[in-house]
Parts: sequence; structure tokens; C-alpha cells
Amino acid sequence: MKLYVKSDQESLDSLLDKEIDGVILGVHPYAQRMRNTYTLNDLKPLIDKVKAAKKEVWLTMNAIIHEADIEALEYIFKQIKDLPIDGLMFADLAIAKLAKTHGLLNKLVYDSETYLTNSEDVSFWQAQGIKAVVGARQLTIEDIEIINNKSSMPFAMQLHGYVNMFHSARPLIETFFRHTGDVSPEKHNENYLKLVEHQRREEPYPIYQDAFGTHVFRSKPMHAFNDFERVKNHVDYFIVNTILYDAPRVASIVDDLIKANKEGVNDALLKKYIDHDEGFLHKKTVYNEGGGNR
Amino acid sequence: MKKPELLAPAGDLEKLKIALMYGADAVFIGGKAFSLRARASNFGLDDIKEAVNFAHTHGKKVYVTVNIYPHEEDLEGLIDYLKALEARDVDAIIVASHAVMRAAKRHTALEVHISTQQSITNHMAANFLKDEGAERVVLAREVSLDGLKTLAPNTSMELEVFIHGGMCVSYSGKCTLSNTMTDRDANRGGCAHSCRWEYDLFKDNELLNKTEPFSMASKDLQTVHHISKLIDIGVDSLKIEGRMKSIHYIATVVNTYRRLIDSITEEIEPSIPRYLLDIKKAENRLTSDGFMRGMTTIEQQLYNMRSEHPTQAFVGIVKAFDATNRTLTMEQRNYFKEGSLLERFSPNEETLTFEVRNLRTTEGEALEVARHPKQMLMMDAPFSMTPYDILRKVQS
Repeated sequence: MKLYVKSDQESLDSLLDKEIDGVILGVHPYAQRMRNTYTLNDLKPLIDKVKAAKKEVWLTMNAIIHEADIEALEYIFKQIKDLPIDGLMFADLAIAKLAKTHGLLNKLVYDSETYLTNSEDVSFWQAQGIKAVVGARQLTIEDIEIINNKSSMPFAMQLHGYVNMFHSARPLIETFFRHTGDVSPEKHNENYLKLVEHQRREEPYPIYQDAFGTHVFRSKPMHAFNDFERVKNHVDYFIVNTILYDAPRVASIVDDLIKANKEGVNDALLKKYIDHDEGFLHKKTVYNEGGGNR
Repeated sequence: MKKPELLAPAGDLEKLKIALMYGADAVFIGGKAFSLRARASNFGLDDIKEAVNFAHTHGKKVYVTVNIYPHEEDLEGLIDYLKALEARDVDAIIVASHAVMRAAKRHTALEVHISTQQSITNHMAANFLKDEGAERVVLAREVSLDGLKTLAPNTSMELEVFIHGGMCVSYSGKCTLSNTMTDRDANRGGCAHSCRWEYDLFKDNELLNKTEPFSMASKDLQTVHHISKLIDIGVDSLKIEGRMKSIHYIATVVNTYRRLIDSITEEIEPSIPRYLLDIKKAENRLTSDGFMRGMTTIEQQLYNMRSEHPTQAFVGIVKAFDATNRTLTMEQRNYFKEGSLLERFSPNEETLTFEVRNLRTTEGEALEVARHPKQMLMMDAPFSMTPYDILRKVQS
């Protein structure tokens, strides 16, 4: 299992000193829910630095692409194909179409966040000739094992960090404050606010607004330490999501993951992550009429 | 000028017949397996056959949603189910998952439409799916008219656009609010509509929404003003949302858009105010034009939470008309009484008003009021009526 960390300039030097396998950097303006994103000019020296440290580098362009973005996307894509990257994460099928045209399919890593839910989905992408797929965030550990057992394609999972659970194109925060008469509603946009549902006050959800719209995350970041051996056996790329963490916390988490990989998981480590949860790893969600409390 | 298909929802056979009789060119229905809207009264295979027979007899089409994102355990029986749909001559299936699309293309000759759950927003993504054999894409509701103007000429994929009904606030298929908050998988038919609930917003410990709950909820979509532009752009199918809506809602909304589309394509100046008034007769939530004009603003959001205005106007549906005795038989749906002023709303006839006279049970017992839903009633009819005509109170 390879350890990949979503990274930025601030955390990069520290990460490259560690025994990770690769970093993921965001391409501006087509990467979302990253700590930072970079233009291609700014990315080039960062990529060189990663390669000099003999690590792998994936870029991510995980935005939903609108028609108005297509022309600029093609321009950027033509330049990306000449960069010494090891992978290019994407969610929008426009990227797959462009990659076909430009001979880059073998670098692509499909990360739709919610769509890849079974082994036949993996087979679909394997037939396309892409490099790897990222399983849906809502998969359980059993789902992951079954999919991996039935597939021969490299399989990635984001298994540590905050989990996005809602993305609207709408500027929901700014619009609400305009509605209530706030004279400068935009001041709230870039702050990380907490969304609290009236019957779930103990679960504040991080929410923010940016150029892509409004994003809401699960209340607690996830960890997978309780299932670390199972994960090691069935996941080829373990991805650490670093959004909403500061750089020292990212470094600490990565140290713990490296240690767990080498020495196994102990009680002290589990105790350290008591403020995290396990995402959907043990939370099977199905339709169950009356199952919700609404 | 290309006349687009008018596509309507149908939660059961009665709604399907109403949708087609009131002007839809095609309907979309859910099967009992592999379909979202798990609480809609979905169709068994025998019902699907009956639906297809009815539609084809009238020269219309039936599409079946197979639009869950299946987990491994959901795949069992998928191929047999797809073959069963093919054997029942459905005109297309609507899919979200690549696995389902692949299975349909490998094992059947079914036409495949890509669900809006894929949130397709550009022509390149549409063309990728075209390469994989899909015939149509139901575009994301986030696509604006300007976006469509560029998208449409750059793809040979058939394009379907939502014109009316409820809207996900999230990009469709990308939301796990319901999974997180209620353990119900939104991508497997269990959406709890958590995006429409009331919230508070905090910065650290400071409550920011001091005067009312923070709301993310959206008004429903209504695009009467934009149909002409959608037709000009060359959209292939105009879709109404709402498999769980009532027959009155479906009849009213479908018929309004039917007449609007016909008047535009026949180059008769459409009476937009009239259509707006007609569409308001359906029980409805507050509406806006969504992303049609670009990014949403206050106008598209719902801030006075309780927005549904269920109308009691729909009093019944005509079941039979006796021309000799000029008597109608109807099934009651809402309260009315002897002397109430009603209007007869018919798919192909002018709307006419009449006063309730000689209200009685089918056994001949005189009634002052009709207060029992589904009760069969009779009354005098001053003009001819046909089964499936809708009777509604004239609002004062």
C-alpha cells in the first residue's frame, strides 16, 4: 500500500522528508477542496522538488467542469501532458475525453467521490485504460474488500481526514446573508463556519464557500486505524485528505500513519484519534423506510 | 423549428395515463428495483408492460429509471432485470452508474439515457458518454441557458433538460448528507432531503443567523419564460420532475407546457401570463427559474421554510359521462358541495365552468357536501365530459 498525501507548498518540505510515497497537488483553477491550488507555472518547481526527493506526484483536477471552462481547460491540459507527473486525478468526464485525445489516459485516476461503488465500475474504468480509481467515500470496509477482491486494477481510497458530504454550485452562505440584510455578506465566505442541524447540535459540520460553490463536511475527520491491516491488504493507494488541518497537524498525522504501517496500531494511537470517526467504514447506508428520524 | 419531446413523471399507472393524455410525449417511471425515489409507488414488470402498451398505443414512449449507484450486493439480478425491461419494449432506460450503462450495452439493445445523477455540465463529458454508447444525457440542473448555447452545438448526444419541479441543492449524485445524518443512501433511493432542513450557522461560538434559521433549500424550478429559448437551442427533451406528485399536479403542469410548446413551434405568440396562471393551479411550492439565467441568487432560494401551498382546488376526476341523461360520474378527491362552482379541465377541450347540481351517490342518495376521498359521486353535467377530465373548484 502506498501512502499519498494531499499537499501544498506549506506542508511539502516536511512531507518530502517522510517515508511517504507520493503527494497530490491541486491545479488552479480546476482543483477543489484542497488546502491550496497552484497555476502550472507555480506547480513546475513543486513537481521538480517532489521528483528530486524521489517521490511520486499526482495532480488533481477534481472540479465539475462547466461549458465556460472548457476552452481554458484544453489549453492547460495541453501543458499538463508534458509535465513529469505520475497521475492526474479527475472527477469530470471532460477530463477523460481530453485525456483520450492527448494520449494521457494511462495517467488518469478517477475520483468522483460518490460514484464508484462496485467492481463493475472498476472494470469500466480499467477497460478505458486509466491508471487507478478512487472508491466512493460512502463505501464500507466490507465493500472495499469485495471490490478489491473482484478487481485487478489499482484501487485507491481517501481514508484519513475530513470527508466532504455536500457540494452545491450555489453561493449559499453569501445568499443567506444577503437575504438577512447583512451589508457585506461576502465577509463570511472564506471563514470556516460550522453548520448545526437543530436535532444534531452535537455534530457541527464544517462549511465554507468558494468559487466552486458551497461545501459541507462531515462533523469529524475520519481515520482508518481500527482497520489498518484490512486496508493494507485491499487498498493500493491510501490517500490523506488535509483540508481543514493545519500543516503541523498534517505532519503529525502522516508520522502516525507511517508508524502504523511499520509497527501496527496500538491503543495510544487510537486514543490520539478519539476526536475522529471512521467515516462510512462501519456505517452501512441503505434505503430503509422510516430509518431516518425525519 | 424542432419540436422537443415533453417528458413527464409517472409514479403509477393512473399518473402515467394522465400524463400522456394531458400532453406528454413520453413518461419516465421507476421499476421496483434499481431505481431512486424508493418511496414512489414504483412499477412491477407487469405494470411496466401495461404502461408500455398504453403508451405505444397512443404513439408515446416510456423510459424506466435504473438510476441507483449500486453497491456490490445490488448488482445481483441486474442483467436479468435489464433483459426483462428490454423484453417489455421500454423505449429507454435512465442510468447513472457506469456499471449499469456497461451492463445494458453488453447484454441488451436498450437505449441508454444518462441520468442527471451524473451531473453532466459540458459537451466533452457528454461526448465521452456518447462514445460509450449512451444516446441521451439528462443535463445537470446547474447548466445555464448560456452554457447550453455552447454545449448543444458541440455534441451529437441527445440533450434532455429539466424545466419544472424539485431541485437538488447539491450537485446531483454528489451528496451524502442523508447518508451521514440518517443512514439512508441518497444514491440508492433513500434521500431524506436533509438539504431542506433548518440549520444554524456558527463562527466559533457565535451564532450568525440571529433572526431566522439558516436555509440551503431551493425553490422548485419553473421555466415558462425560457421554453422558447430552449426550443431555439435545439434541446431534444424537456423534462418535468415529480414522480410522487398528484395526478392534478401532473395534468396541470404537463398540459400547460404542452400548450406552450405547441404555440411556440406553431409560431403562435404564446400567452405567457396565461400559462403562468394555469401552472399555479397545481398544488405547488414556490418556484424560480433555477440556473437558467446563470448563478443563483436570493430569488432562487427558499427562506420562509414552509413553502408548500397545497391547493384544495382539485375536487375529483371524471370516470364516466352519460350523454342521454347528461349525468357525470366522478371520483371525489377534495371537499366541495352542492352549488360549488367547478371548472372542467380537459386535455383537449376548452376549460368550462359549471355549478354543482343534483349531487348524489351512485346509489342515488342526495348529498349536500362531498367530503369522502375516493367516493364515487354523480351530478348533472351541463356539457359533455370524458373520462380523465379533471374537476376543480373555481377560486374566488
